[in-house]
Amino acid sequence: MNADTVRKVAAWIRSELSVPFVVVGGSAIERSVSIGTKDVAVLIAVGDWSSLDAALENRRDATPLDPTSGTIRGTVLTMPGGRVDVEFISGEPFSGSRPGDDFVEYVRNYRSSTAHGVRYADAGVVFYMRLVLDDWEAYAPSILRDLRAGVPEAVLEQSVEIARRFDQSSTVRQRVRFVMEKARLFEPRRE
Amino acid sequence: MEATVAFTRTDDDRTPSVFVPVPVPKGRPRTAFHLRIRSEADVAVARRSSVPVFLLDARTVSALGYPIEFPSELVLPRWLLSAVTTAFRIIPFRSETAVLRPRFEDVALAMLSVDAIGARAILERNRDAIDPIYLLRRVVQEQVEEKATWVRFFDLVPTLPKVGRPIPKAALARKLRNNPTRESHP
Repeated sequence: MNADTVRKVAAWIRSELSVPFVVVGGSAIERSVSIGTKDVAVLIAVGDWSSLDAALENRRDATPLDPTSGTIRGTVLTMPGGRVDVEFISGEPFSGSRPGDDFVEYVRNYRSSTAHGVRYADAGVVFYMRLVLDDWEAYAPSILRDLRAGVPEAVLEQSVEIARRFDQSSTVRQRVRFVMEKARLFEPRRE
Repeated sequence: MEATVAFTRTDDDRTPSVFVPVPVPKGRPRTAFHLRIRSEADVAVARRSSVPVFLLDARTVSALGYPIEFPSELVLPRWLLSAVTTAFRIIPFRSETAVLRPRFEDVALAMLSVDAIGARAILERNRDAIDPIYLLRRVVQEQVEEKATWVRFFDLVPTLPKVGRPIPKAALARKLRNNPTRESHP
């Protein structure tokens, strides 16, 4: 997903859906290294689901949110040049025992930066989000891919720092260790 | 071009007697060549000269059912590593034949280094064409049993050896199913 497409999607969300958001996932990683992600994922406040549902209910350029409930829901946006999958994610799965929006606010205030008018999460946030999910093992290959593409290993430590704030550090640290082991396994050996 | 293997003396080492100088044919001074690969075109030129290299690129992987963009990587046999200079990232293979004539199973094995989920997707989306004996032989030959187990190649070819812990079946299935032609991770 090139930066230009991400900016267009961001502009569309702002103008048509009117919800504040932070770009997360592969699109946030792409700011520093090329990994070829094909969708745009954005983090939103829990309270914005109802206005998003309403805004996406009857549009010609985007499908209604699917699935109809949950914390990760997507739409397919038709833009000049093609279709883009846009995923909306609220903070509950990432905030531990705190309210979901605590995570969103934390990312917005301390773990993101703005470029060309779009707010992007730091890579440490993206890794944390992948590692704290129940399905983290299925996301671990994406982390390995990003490390191979040039994301520094220190970002894994950042994910542990973030986890500490949400009382998830022992879980995430264990998973980081697993990822590091896999990274060593997957590093091509030259004999 | 013909590839040869030679030894080079390091620093002030004394040369043990088992090493003997290669005779230089009369009137034909030999020039040693390195392979310099700077572009896709260079790979094509090298392949036309029967040099075992191939480029793992997004076009090939996408054509096999896993649309993706990534910087191309150079696959070459391990013995050739010291003779190649390139800015491409390198994926070393043990099999020279697989580099010279890569089958889609070999593309999947190379892809294990770039995007393990993609490697699994390539096999799954071409499962009717998998040669199970060839894949078994190649997984063992490249010693990637643990990597292959992690993304559950054994679901597709049950005879593959299982080494280490695989990603849970349901989690991997969700990852592959959610968005079959695009990434789906947060």
